[in-house]
Amino acid sequence: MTRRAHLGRPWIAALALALGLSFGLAACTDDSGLGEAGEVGSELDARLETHVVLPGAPSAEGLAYVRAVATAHAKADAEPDLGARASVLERALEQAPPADDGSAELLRYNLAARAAQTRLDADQPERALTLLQPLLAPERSLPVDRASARGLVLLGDAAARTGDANLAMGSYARALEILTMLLEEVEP
Amino acid sequence: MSEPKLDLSAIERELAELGEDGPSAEELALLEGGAVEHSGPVASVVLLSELSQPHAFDDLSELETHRGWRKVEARLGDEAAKRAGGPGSTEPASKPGGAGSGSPRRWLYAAFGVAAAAALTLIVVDPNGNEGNQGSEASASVDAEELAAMGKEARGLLDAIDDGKTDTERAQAMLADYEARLSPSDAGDDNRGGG
Repeated sequence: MTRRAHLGRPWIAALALALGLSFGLAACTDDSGLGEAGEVGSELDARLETHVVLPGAPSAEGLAYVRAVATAHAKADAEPDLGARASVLERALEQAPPADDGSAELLRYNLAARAAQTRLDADQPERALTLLQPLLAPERSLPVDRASARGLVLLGDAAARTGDANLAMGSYARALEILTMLLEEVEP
Repeated sequence: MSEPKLDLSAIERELAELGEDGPSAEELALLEGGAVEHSGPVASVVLLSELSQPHAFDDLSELETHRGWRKVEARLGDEAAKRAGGPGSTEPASKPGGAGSGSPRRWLYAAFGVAAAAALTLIVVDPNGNEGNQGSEASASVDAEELAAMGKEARGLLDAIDDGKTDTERAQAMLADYEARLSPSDAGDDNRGGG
């Protein structure tokens, strides 16, 4: 069964405030110091809800999903054209993983990340955004795993390339927080 | 420094109020000799209690509580090392299962801490009272170069925990694991396909 431990992160704001005051690096909110990237995009949203993923009880449905994703990756490997490769991966993304199946959930995040990376490689950051934003929305709980961190980094890259600096910043900040958790948890 | 003097009458009175017998001769000797404070179990409990005071875990999740107590354990290990090595000792104690000491990842944590701190300082605090990084109500300004640096740091850390497998290899490994976890009869049924 997938175990979900939701982690609210109200302390980030306090930490950011403390660090900003300590190092004197927090920017002012007037427009005088804005960089180019800061003038465009959505509002900053770095909320992060997470849950710990356990493999869960395997099922025939889960096995079919895992097999379909593995097959899609193999097909994508054989596809030299970036657009066609991304389409193969996106078709597999249309299939929803079974509920409470941690393995399938993580595979889905990796699949989305690869599809988005392929779109970025094809110089289609808007398509990458379309793929990742629903999956990694701040109101969704994300698995504490490299796959979700990878997706957030790619979301940040795609947002940066489309000029949405706040989305990029929020995505990188959320990725860094998940990576922090992972680095702490892997320490024996 | 002068040690506070033992008030045996107060101890006897408090024990009586609790319905306990008064201290035995052996206990009195321990108290007067100050040995209780230095006994391992008592000192550990007292120290653990002291260390945990600043940590209000009431509203934390299971994972956060686990991580919090690991930090407490690490601090306990440091304190134990200082006691074992005397006032001038800086060598950490051996801490099986504890975070930190001697780990090759420590430098990575330190580097990451600096990177994360630098990243988080980019989040703007609105002087009108809106705290930065609090959901969609926050406003922010971002410097393009700092944003690029933050992305670079995130990618670097992502690479640091990469298992070296391709997505296909990872998916195939997960498929093999899944098939192994699923009972052979179930997998067989799933693969039979009516033929």
